[in-house]
Amino acid sequence: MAIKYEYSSTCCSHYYVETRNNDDAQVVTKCNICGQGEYVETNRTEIESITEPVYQAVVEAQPEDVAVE
Amino acid sequence: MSASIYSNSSFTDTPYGLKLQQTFTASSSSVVIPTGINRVYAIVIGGGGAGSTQTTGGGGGGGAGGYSAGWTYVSTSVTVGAGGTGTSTAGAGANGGSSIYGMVMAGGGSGGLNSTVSGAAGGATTPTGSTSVVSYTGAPASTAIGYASGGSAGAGNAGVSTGGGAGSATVTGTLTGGAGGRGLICGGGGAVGTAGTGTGGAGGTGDFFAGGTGSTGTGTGFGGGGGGAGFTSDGASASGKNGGNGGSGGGGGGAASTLGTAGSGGNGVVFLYY
Repeated sequence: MAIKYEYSSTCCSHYYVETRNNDDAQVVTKCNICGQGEYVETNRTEIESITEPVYQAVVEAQPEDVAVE
Repeated sequence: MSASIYSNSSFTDTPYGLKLQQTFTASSSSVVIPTGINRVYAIVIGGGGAGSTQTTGGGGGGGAGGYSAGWTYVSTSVTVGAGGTGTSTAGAGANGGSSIYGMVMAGGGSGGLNSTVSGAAGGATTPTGSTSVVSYTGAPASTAIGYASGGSAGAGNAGVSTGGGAGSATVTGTLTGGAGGRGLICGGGGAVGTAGTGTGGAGGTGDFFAGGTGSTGTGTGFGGGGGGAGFTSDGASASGKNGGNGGSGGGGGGAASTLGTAGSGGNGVVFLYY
């Protein structure tokens, strides 16, 4: 299960989101706008995680398509 | 290790007027982009390849994950490629997984193949073995220096994403493994397994983070290769015959000496700016 962490910086209140597995380290800790304040967690939500990309390419026959014998 | 705004290119090359708003190190099918924003700028990095281990001698290092960046339409799902998992089973290392957001995609790095052939770095797709693939920018596959460089028979080739260093099948004498290539995201070092003095190759040195060091000692209990630098953290150093793990953000895993445990590749990462 992945977790969506929401942060607000202590300097300019920049809203920033990291989605990562629970045991993974926070990637960005300082405000990436001004580099001054720290990111303080304001909320976390468990979300559905996917392991493989899903492609859904739907191809339908067009009127001008002609079957080849 | 966390990234600093002042030492990471994901912030210093931010397109003017944009802000880093979301970072993903895990895949998700519930990405939320604020209403009214229809295009975002994505930096997408694949997972690093694992190093290899061999029955005799040392293995080849894993390649770095691919680096892709560009504008894309908004998507509700993101895939972040996991790094290849290093094992103590003789053979090629596992490839890293591909990362995708919208229409920006980056392949994983190839696992190290065997003693003398390391893994290539990921491009737009994931390579198999030492032969690199075309990058997302359209830069061609390369056997030498390249945007996504190939694996090698010595030190890894330099590039943006780089190949791992080769190891050695020789089992006597004083030996040193090949280092991972230097670049933005780096391959792992090759390993040696010798009755003499063996030194594993260092993980590739990154522009912003360091590669791990190889281990040194006499006998096959030493000679593991260091992990390559990732996009967001250092590669780990080797320990005895075991390879070091690649840094977070696509670093390639270091190879292992004689049936040691190879280093795992670092997981990929996706940054979204808008």
